[in-house]
Amino acid sequence: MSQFERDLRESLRRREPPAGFAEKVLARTREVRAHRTISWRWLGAAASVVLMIGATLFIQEKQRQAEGEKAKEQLMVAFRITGAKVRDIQARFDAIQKRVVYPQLNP
Amino acid sequence: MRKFAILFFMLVASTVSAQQLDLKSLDKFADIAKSKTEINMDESTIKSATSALSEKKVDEAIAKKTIEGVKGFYLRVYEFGQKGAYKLEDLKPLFDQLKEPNWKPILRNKENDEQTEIWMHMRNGEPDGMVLISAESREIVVINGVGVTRLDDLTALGKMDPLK
Repeated sequence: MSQFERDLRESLRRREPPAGFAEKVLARTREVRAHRTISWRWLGAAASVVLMIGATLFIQEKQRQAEGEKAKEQLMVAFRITGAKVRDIQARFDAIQKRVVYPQLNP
Repeated sequence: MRKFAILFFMLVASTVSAQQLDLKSLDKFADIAKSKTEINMDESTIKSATSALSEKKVDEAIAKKTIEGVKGFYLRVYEFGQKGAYKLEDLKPLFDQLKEPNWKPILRNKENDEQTEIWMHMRNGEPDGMVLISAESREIVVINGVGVTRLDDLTALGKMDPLK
């Protein structure tokens, strides 16, 4: 047996792992898994917050639109009444003007 | 405490300046009127309404143009079932307010117990509001437009379709 063969056999010889090796590997695996679980929890929480903010903004926008529509209706009623009244006043004053300027034609 | 006092003073001051005219004296007509319309629109309500107005609809486009610069719009309409339900003297508290120096008459007409008046509210020599009072035998109409500075602004509203 040459020196090379002896070295090779020595290198490939089955060696027992150090004491507690398996426990250490398993513990490390658990740590990684726990870390991943925490990340997912955070992600879930952040998504919930974003969803809540989005929903709140959506509801607020809908409320704002509803208030705007209600205010618009109110404004349109006010303006239509005002418009009609202004028309009345204009017609009345046109009639007065005619009476004053052409009294003989508009007794 | 001092901050609250200042805030309260500012709120009161803004309310007084916003209204220009105290319309509370008209409340008594609500009880005897056959029908009433009371509209109070402050600056925030007007802003809200403006955002909902569409330029594509003719009437809303007129309203949008008229509402520019308007900070308040207060309207009272009381319709009575019969003549003589009220007397012109009942409107004295309202007309008394127009004796203030910042009110300037634009149009005044009195005929057969019917009175029509349009007054402009002045601030530092510039118009910043208008009031229209029309007291007919069966109807009282009072309109105060805060920020309405030209009679033409109201005249433009005459082009709108009347209430259906």
